[in-house]
Amino acid sequence: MLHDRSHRAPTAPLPLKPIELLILTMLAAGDRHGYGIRQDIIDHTDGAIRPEAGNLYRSIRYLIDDRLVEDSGRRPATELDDERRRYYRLTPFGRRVLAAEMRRLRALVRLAEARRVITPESA
Amino acid sequence: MRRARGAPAPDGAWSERCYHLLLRLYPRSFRDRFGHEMVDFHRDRLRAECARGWRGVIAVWLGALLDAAATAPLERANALTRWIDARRHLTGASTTHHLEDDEMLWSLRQDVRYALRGMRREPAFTAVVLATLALGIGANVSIFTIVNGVMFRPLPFYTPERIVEIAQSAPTTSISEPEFMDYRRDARAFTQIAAFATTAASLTGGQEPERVDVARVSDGFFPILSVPPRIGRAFTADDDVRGHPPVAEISYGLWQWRFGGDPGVIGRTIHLDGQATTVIGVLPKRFDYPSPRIDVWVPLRLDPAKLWTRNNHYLRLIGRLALRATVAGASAELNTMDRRWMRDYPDIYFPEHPLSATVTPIADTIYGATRPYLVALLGAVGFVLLIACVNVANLLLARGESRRKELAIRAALGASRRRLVRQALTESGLFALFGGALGLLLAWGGTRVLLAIAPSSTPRLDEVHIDVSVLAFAAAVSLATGLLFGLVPALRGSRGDSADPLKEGTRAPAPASGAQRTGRVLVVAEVALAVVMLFGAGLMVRSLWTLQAVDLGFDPLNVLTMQISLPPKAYPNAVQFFQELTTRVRAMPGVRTAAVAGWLPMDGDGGRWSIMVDGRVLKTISEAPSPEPEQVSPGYFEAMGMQIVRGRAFTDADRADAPMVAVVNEAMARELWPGEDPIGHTIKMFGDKAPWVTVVGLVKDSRSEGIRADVPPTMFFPYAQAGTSAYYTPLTMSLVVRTTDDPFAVAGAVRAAVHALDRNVPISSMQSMGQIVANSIADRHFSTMLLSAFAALALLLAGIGIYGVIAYGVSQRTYEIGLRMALGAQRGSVMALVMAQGLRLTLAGLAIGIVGALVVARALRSLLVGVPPMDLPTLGVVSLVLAGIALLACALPARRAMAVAPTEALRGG
Repeated sequence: MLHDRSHRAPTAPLPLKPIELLILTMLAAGDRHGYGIRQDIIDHTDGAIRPEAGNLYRSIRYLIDDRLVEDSGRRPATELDDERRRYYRLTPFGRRVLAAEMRRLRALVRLAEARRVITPESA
Repeated sequence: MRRARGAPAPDGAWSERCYHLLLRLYPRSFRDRFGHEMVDFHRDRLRAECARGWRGVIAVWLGALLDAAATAPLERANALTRWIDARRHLTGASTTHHLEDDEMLWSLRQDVRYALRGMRREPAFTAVVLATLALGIGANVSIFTIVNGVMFRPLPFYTPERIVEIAQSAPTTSISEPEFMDYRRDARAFTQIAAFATTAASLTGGQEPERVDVARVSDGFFPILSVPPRIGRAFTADDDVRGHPPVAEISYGLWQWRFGGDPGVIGRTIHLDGQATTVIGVLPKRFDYPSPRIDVWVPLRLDPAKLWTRNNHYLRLIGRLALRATVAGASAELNTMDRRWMRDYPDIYFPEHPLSATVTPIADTIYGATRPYLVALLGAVGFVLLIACVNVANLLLARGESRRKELAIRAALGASRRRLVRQALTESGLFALFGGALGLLLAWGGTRVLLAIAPSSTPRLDEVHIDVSVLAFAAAVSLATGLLFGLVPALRGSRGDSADPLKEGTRAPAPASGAQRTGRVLVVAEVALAVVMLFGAGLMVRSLWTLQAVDLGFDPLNVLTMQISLPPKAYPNAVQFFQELTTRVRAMPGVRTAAVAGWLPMDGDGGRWSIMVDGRVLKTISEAPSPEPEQVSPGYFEAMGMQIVRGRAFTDADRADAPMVAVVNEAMARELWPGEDPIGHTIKMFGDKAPWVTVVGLVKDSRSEGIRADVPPTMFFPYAQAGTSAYYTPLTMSLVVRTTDDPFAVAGAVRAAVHALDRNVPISSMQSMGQIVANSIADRHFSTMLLSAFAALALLLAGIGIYGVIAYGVSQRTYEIGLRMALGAQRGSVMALVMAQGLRLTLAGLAIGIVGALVVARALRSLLVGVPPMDLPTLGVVSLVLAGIALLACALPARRAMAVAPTEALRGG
């Protein structure tokens, strides 16, 4: 049976895999379909990460099973797009998990700054 | 197919269909959820990439294949665990697992068990199939391991694709100091350009003196390669300034065996040619640029205020391309600068030898020369594998025939055709798996053997080992192999009216079943493949023969050489040292004669020196001829086996205070004094101070720059006079000892003689002239040997294939043959019948193979020497050899056919 983590604290699914983190971050800006997520990831990583279909949808499956992401049910106008294309969106729980993960990463960044691995950026 | 609802784009239709197939790797549940989205995704990818043409399409597909290979098994495993979980908890209710998945799983298990049982039942058959596959896969994986190490593993630099080597075209590939400075200042296509030159030095202090190869590198050398030292610090711009304290980086190797890997080496002082130098860093283990022989890197320290002249070319250049620069663009820019120099310095550059700069990616300079050989080898093992596949397919086919009855029964009992194909494929899959595992084992040994016999000149051999990509390659090859040899028999075996074989008696099988037809097609293919392989190998062997038959102009047999380097400060009179040494060595038993020379044939050269001829006044150096210089002691021509054609060789009388003399080779005489006797002409080093030198002898040309290279014009000076007549007295000389027998028999005594004269003189690169000559063609020798071995393997496999098909045909036709004989056919005519069948197949294969051979020969063209790609004699010999093997392979079954006893055959025995 599917594990429903939505009753648990948003820190439960942490840490996220890099690809999951990227997908959630991209969805934070609005609903996307699979290929759109890929384009966004490529744009925001300067092309360093280029997920392929299997990897992407496998991660989406995990995220859906964990209730971090859901099918948005939204469909674009048919003449603009194929009617079978599915759009995904972040669930409220997914947004909380993402925020928790980002806070965790921020703490890491602060640590790296304190240890002079990188120079602190003035906010 | 409900997933293919939307009309696919017409251009990508085939691609989409293939992608649907690929999706079948995923479990059904996953496909149902995401299948059509993934198809859309794939289509979007193709649309975005099709602007790049077929390269884009290949990139998309490569990505998709790798992706599916990585994620589909995980999804399958996931589906499986979920299914098991569900089954465990469950009692019928609302499981979401899909029937197709578990059904497939169960039948797979059954098929595997069935196939294993079959393999055990026929051990001989299994052994032959596995051995064939293991050989084919093993050969492929071994060669791939080498190719992977040499060519595919990343170079030990950061973004090596942006690093290039810059060279000038003939007459010299090197670059002079002012040219380097100009490039560095003006070239916009590079973020940085650095120069380096290699040399050698005696490393003293501590233990035994040692000769080490040294690279002198300018500021920017290490930043361009982006290699930080393993320990210590890198050179700074300050280190490249004249007058600063001498510093050096050392190689990991030197650090290990001279300093025992002690990190305290940093800051320690070493002596390079007597110069106290501080070690400031140790480079990483894999770093070996510009050559694996280099052990010490020191700053070049050009003096920008006092650069050498523009025509003194000795530097090599590397550069890092700027962000948007291309190799072609960079090359165009440098050539524009070259043209400007030619206009600005007409007295330096010849108009008839225009300068032209070449920019080569660093990877090409490192393994470019080896690449064609490796590609040829990879192609050859590919052919071997194809032939192996054909053979195995043939075997499976023949056996499938004897199993027809069994299959028919299973079909009659309700097994679907799909199920039977799957069962057959499972079996070949298992064969491929086991064959692949054995092949990997073979490759593990094979790679070791190859490494042991590979020429040391092959670049990056230390990078060769079995790694993840080799394993992936082995897996892919095995998988492809299994499909290749499994598909034909699987499809064949499952076809046909299932009731037929059941009705047939055992007595008279159909005279030419479909399987036999397929078998014949396979044999024709096999012969064709073997022809191509043999022809390729034949051409390489002929090229090697051509090279080995070249008259070297010297006699490499029984000549020992070694390099002796005198420390510069201790030897004001090097001439005396070498005279004493050669006198002592000549007196040794087993030694015919001995001499010293500045350079050995085929082992480096002294560059080219501009000269003046016969008192003619030259305005500029650009008009001066520039032969190669060589300093030799008396007895050198005799020791090297070079023939004096006219005049005399050097004698002990040609001392420093005697009249200045020289010997020239035929190439130089032809160039300077065509049609004249060179004896009595005079030459002089370009410059004011040098004296005029009289030519006293003419020596036969020798292939001093390699077997394939043109003989350069060469002038020889007596070592004793070189300090006056040829600029300087070199301190690093090669001792050349002609022996009566095995040259290495005297090596110990010679070494002792050197050290008896001076304990601190390092001896290096001890080798026989024979080795030097062999090394110069070692690449070719190695690949030709391997190609021949693979061709022999191909021939053997093809022979076995022909034998198998003909023998099987005979066994199937026993009844018919018996009948013919009972009706009065002669034994001879029966034999002719069988042989004719085999020969027809062979001839068909030969005809197809010859066409293929001509195509492949064109691809080999760059590797051929003195043999045209369409060499008819080679083709003739190859055809005869194959026909001979085919005859032999047919003769055995034909004999068996002759021995058929009519009564037995007719009774059905």
